[in-house]
Amino acid sequence: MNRIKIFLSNIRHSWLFSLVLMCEVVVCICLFAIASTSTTAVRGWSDYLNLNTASKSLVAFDGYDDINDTSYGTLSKMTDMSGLATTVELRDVNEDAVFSGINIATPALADNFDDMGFKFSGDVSSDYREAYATSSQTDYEINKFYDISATDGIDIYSVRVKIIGIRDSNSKYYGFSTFKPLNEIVQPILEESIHGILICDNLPEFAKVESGIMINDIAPSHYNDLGFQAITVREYYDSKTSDEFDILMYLAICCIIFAAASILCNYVLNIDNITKRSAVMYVCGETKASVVCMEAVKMVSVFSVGMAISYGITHLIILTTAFNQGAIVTWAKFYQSVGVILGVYLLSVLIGFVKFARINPLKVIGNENVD
Amino acid sequence: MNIINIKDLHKKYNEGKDNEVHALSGVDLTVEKADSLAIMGVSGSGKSTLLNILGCLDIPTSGTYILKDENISDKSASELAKIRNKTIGFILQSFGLIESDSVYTNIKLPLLFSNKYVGKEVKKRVNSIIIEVGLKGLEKKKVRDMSGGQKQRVAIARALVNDPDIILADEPTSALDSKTASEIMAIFKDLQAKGKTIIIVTHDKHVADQLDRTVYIKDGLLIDIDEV
Repeated sequence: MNRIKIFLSNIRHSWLFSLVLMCEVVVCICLFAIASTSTTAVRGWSDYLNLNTASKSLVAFDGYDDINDTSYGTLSKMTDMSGLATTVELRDVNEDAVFSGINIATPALADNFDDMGFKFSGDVSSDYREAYATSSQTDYEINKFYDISATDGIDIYSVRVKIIGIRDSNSKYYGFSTFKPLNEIVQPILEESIHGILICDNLPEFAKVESGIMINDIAPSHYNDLGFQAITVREYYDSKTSDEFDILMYLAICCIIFAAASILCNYVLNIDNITKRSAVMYVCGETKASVVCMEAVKMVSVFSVGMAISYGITHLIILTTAFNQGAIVTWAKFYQSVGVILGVYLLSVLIGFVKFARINPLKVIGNENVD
Repeated sequence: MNIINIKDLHKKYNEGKDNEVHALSGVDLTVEKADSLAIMGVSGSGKSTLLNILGCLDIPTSGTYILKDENISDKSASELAKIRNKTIGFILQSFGLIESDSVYTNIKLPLLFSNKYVGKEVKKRVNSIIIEVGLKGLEKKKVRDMSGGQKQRVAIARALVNDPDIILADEPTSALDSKTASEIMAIFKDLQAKGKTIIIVTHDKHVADQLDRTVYIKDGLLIDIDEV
């Protein structure tokens, strides 16, 4: 019983240390979660590369060199746009002037990127109504042409489109709208398809084109000379991958340095007090072996308490994120984090503990009081 | 009746190495029960080493140390720890207290290592000692918030709480003003009157003059014994 009292008296000055360890585990879990997200993004880019598009030009038409008019018609006069793989959104308008968006895929996209989620199903029920362009109120059939009303924001045009397929329900696909090179942090965005219809023919001349992959073999320099910004998909992938891993590496190093420094500082700053406290216990009737053993048990307990609290927090996070269907924190990441912090903890406290274990209580007790 | 009997006591540090130090070189000393003894000497003379051995904090290299008819030289570390806890009360130069703890917690510490007082007796014993050293009402006060004199009283109370036969004090008044030092010395005299053996290491002749005997130590040897 007395041993427990002595131990509790000893450890109650170290509870803050447990909280520090808990915080570090949580930070570590977050880091792993960020790493996991970034890795997913990188995998997305590698999907592009798998499509033999590595040498193709990724071109951003919008917002460069004072080129304000990036309509398909204007761009077609400047360069060969037949190889453009992208989607554009038309603003469909019905008789009551109600607008809605329709995604149009270019033929180059439809022909080359079906592995990226642009898979088209020919099986459409007879009563299928396109969910995206609700104003059309029309039954669509594959391979048939339809005239839809669309607007450039000012005038209304009749646009002839050919239905090449219906996007698979609940399938995922990569969006192009944010797919811009170099100067924006962009990653392929995995989106949920919602019965969206892909309609494909030549793009209307007034359709605004932001960016896309040119699947012809024209070099990026050609587009750069025209005032756009272009880069090969390979170069873009490499730069983004490199950036992401640089950031991850930086975060990881910061996290480990932060953890090691805080644990080390805490322990080293406290080691004198720990030593003096132990020396007082030695004078009052405890053996040196016992105080060293007690300190070792305390270190294990401090770590265990920190891990127990972080276990509880992780459990709550997992429950919450599972409810939100966005579980980026997992038990695997928790155990990884505990492993990292345990390694850092052992390395850090070992220095202080060796100093403590080697100390002569007689040299300590005469000098100062114990905080 | 001798409570301490030391014969031909030697203490060497770093024995057999280039930096060997012969801190005690054949010390003979006897102390009777309820006696009060001052150990004087310059820094490095060996008086702290002698105090550490007397207090079972350290063991001699050779020689015999009989404490209450028991040969200390043969004792194991855990047996020495029990002797420190039950027979000896230490008062250190700079108090050796846990500053962040309360007066009560500091005084109670030695009782945690023994079974002499259990349950409610612990609280009763600590409170009676607190009254004895004049700290009533300050039980919950943190040591860090106390004056030097009060801290020394806490240190004395901690030394007394397990009712030891011997009180060992290392420069107990050096950090105190003269008035407080006189009060502390009065406590020691009172303790001696109650049958405690008092041994004080000091540089202060005035402190030594208030004790029954004074021994001088120089270069590890007791060179003069002055019985008052």
